[in-house]
Amino acid sequence: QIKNIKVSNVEIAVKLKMSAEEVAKAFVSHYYENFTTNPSNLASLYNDSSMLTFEGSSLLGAQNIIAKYTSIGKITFDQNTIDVQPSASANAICIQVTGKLKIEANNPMHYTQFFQLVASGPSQYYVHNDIFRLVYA
Amino acid sequence: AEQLAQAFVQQYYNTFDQNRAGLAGLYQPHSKLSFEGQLFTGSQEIGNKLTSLKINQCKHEMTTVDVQDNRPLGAGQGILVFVTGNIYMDSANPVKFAQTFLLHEAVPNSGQWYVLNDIFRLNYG
Repeated sequence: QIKNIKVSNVEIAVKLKMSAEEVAKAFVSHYYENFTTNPSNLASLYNDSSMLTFEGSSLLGAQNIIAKYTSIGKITFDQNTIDVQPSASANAICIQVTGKLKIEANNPMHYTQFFQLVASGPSQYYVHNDIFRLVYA
Repeated sequence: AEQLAQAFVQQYYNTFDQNRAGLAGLYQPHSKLSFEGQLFTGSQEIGNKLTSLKINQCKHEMTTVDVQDNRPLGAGQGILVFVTGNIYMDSANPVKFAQTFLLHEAVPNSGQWYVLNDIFRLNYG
């Protein structure tokens, strides 16, 4: 069975229907890769209704969210766990990630992040909820 | 939403730490729990998993609680609560944990909230 997975903007083109797990894993991979190389690429994953709570501060809308993400400096990520659950409505997916990250040349730190992806069209998702926390020793 | 969420998680962890048998009542037949990577569905399965954990004494200590109101997504879309903290299990050193709850009202505006989605992970190392 061949699956043609192309992750561009919010569109995930498939030959076969992707499970929530597969959508989540493709999303997480795309998300962190772009966060590291060019956070402004993440803009297409959010819209005006997206909410980010970053270290306790809440931001609404893609513009504000990307402004935050582009202000941090270079971050590299190392995901440890990815948990996926279908959400309340049939077209939403909950994802909880734990792992480590490094900001610039600082020591690695633990982090955990939650996403709720909501379908905006067939096989198209945007991030409706994003919650990010560093975990201090 | 913030106050409700704080009150709910406090009640949840108190129940977990003092009377795990009471947790099943916080879930519904379509609720889902991911516990350390294993998926359980429905209050019975979830209740069984949580009461079967081999922990005699347990204490959850919340470090951070973040709340997002999910209702802009549509009527009855609930409240998201994201918790990080420490869990003390028997005499072991505290272990960090991360937990996400999606809270829903069984009947809109009833004030009776339950856990629809629950994702729990311990953070080692």
